[in-house]
Amino acid sequence: MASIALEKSKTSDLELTPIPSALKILTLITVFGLLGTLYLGLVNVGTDVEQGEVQRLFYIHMPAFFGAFTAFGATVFGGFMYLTRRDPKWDRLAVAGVEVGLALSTVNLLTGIAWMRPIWNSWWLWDPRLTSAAIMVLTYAAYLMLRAGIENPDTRRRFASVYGILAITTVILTLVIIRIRPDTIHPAVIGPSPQNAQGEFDATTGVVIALVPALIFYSTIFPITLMWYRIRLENLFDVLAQKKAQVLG
Amino acid sequence: MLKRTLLLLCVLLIPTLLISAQDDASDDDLGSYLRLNSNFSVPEITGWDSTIEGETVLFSREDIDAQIYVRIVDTLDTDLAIEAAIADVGAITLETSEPILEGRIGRLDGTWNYRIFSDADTNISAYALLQSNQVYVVLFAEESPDYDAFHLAKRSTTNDPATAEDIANAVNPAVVEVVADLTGETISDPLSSRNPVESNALWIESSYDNDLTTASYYYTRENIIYVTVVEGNTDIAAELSDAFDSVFLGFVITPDNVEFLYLGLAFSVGIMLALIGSMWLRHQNLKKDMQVLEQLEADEA
Repeated sequence: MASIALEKSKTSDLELTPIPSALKILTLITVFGLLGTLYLGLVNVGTDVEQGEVQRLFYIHMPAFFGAFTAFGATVFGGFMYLTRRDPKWDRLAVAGVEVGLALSTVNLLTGIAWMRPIWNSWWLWDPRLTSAAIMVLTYAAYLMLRAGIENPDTRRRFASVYGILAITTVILTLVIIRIRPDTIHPAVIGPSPQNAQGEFDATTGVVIALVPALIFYSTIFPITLMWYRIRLENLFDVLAQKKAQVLG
Repeated sequence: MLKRTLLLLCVLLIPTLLISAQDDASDDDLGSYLRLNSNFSVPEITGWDSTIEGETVLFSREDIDAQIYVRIVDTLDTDLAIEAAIADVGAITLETSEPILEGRIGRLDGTWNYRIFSDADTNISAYALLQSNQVYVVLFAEESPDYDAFHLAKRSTTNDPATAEDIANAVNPAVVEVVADLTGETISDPLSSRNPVESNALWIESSYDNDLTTASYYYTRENIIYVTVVEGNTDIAAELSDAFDSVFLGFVITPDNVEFLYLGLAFSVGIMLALIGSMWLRHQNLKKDMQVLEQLEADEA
């Protein structure tokens, strides 16, 4: 992550640069990775006999949360680094993490809703896990709105760094709530929970084969590629701001 | 650059192909369910021959003249569906169309109507469930002169049995009821009882007077006791009970909900396209702004 942020380190050095070869290769890998994981989850693995075709959303739903976790983790890292170093490149990493993480956590939430309608016979339940996931999405949506409302760049970056660090608590809460609240009906797939006292990874080989590559891909390559593009966009914002100050100031 | 990209693609494709090949093999290994081209699946039964044809599955054992048959009938009438299924089962001849016993049992997957037929050496226990404008029939038929066998289910009056004694106290009255329903006679206490499946305390096999043996499985999740009554060849009670209960309890109707899969995919694609599209639009706008600024700079110069 640091190497991505280091692409352009000082605002004064910024200029419009072509897409680097590494990012082009990463983009290609991302496209193939996306198609590969979709193939494994939507075509290769058999249909769940109890839940039907809708269960295939699980191969997007859970990995999307892992991807969001990576992206929000990058926000925390960027926030800490900005507060200690005051270098804008870390703020760019932080905002990229929020935007990508927000998109992936919204995918997680909406695929969950599409799954729960036929399985739980409801579009929404105020279940602890669902509620905490919704709070997490709204918290990060508020980050972007509040950030856009602050004019002064330094104030904006400081505020965003602190907010981004504190907001990770909603992610951690969403992760652990199924293990600490016995009244949630959301299943815990891995490890012990009130619903799965044995603590086993209760999945068939076919499910594991479709799920594990998706988890690895969504939690590494996919968010990193998207964040890299978003960082480049933020670089461009800074170049423009610099140019604007130069021409109009 | 091109060479490096191609190399990376190959590296990516190899695990995908390996994973695909591995999944095919694991499907064969799993093999515990027979998936039909329609929306239902039944577990395979060890020791029984299975034949899948269209929307039917037939399990058969020639040595004991027994068959378990599962099929879907496009009707709203469960009795008609049972008739159609009986007419369909190979090599079974039933002179009468009147059942000796009929009723219904409520399970988690719906209410099953059952009809028990007995005619000379032929005995049929048929269960039918109406769901989604179709009737699912699970049927046991035997034509053996050596024994008579029936399968019946009774709701337990006990909740959450904790000990083997609790289970026996729940199962024994249910067995008495089942035998009374079938024969009209009240049986005395069992001569002997044992658990045919040591690892599962919910199974009880009991022998009674008059060459009668019952094998019962207490399915605590539904609080239903599934009883197999065998008269004659007492050695096969537990085996028949295991085979029929495996199909009847393992029978899964897969819901048709593919439209919700499409909805979830549409959400996912829509959100990711919105993110990428918004980044592209913002990039284009920034480039335009930059051009304007450069134009202004050039004009000033």
